[in-house]
Amino acid sequence: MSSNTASRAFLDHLGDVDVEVLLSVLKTTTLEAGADAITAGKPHDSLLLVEWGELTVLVDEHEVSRIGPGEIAGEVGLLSPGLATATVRATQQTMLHVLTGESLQDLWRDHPSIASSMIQGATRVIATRIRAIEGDVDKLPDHNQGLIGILGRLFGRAA
Amino acid sequence: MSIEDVLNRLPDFGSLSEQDLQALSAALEPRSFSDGDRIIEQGREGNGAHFVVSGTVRVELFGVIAMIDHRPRSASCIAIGDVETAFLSRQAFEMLAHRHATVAYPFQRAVGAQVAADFREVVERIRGRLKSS
Repeated sequence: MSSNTASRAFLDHLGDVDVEVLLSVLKTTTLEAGADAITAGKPHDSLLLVEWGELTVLVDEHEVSRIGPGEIAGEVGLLSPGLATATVRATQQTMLHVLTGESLQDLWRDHPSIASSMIQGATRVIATRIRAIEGDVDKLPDHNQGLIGILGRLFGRAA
Repeated sequence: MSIEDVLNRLPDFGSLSEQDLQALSAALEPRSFSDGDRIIEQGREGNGAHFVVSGTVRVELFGVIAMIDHRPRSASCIAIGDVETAFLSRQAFEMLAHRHATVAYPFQRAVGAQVAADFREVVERIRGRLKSS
């Protein structure tokens, strides 16, 4: 696996992280079109980093975002393992690097500065997403189109 | 209950060494609040974090995001009855993290978990409205 890849788009936000070391603890998997990487309502604890291909994010079958090379999904489950809030599905054959909760613990034991950077990076992504809809939460619209638009901003692309 | 007892009960802090726990405890400042006091004021810049030692605090959504993006707080935290907290200033935290690097990680995990919980709450709130419209 090379570090000279699209996945660096997110990793480059993490500062001085040793990308080679990080990639060595990530599991790599390839999904076929239509396969779920994350299923809403099912337990989930892993961060997904798209190497190539594309994922769609669905909330109650409404598409709210698409995720491409260098972007991430699943950060909420990594930081707070639990039932997934959305389904993340491959729209085409897609290669992912996966950081599970267990491998994060291993990373913390062996390379604490990298684990720390991953936690901070994932936290910043979620904080940015929440800030994007901050003014909307207390005055949600009554129509689905407006609500799906807010979900689109909440799940919007984040490297 | 001492602040060491409070920290030991928090899942992300249980793995800290005795030395790290003592260093963290020494950096904390005790604060007292009465019923209705605003422990954190909406719109103010986030300059630290409170550990609740005793009592109950009503925390509105987005309570910890100001600690991450250094923008004004978007929520208030209000005391319900008498509340005792241990306050860790941003400056004290940064000094602590520099001298005791292992102390920083449980904080990062705890803050990340809270932000993720806020995200889930927002999604569920919108999903609830989607189903009813």
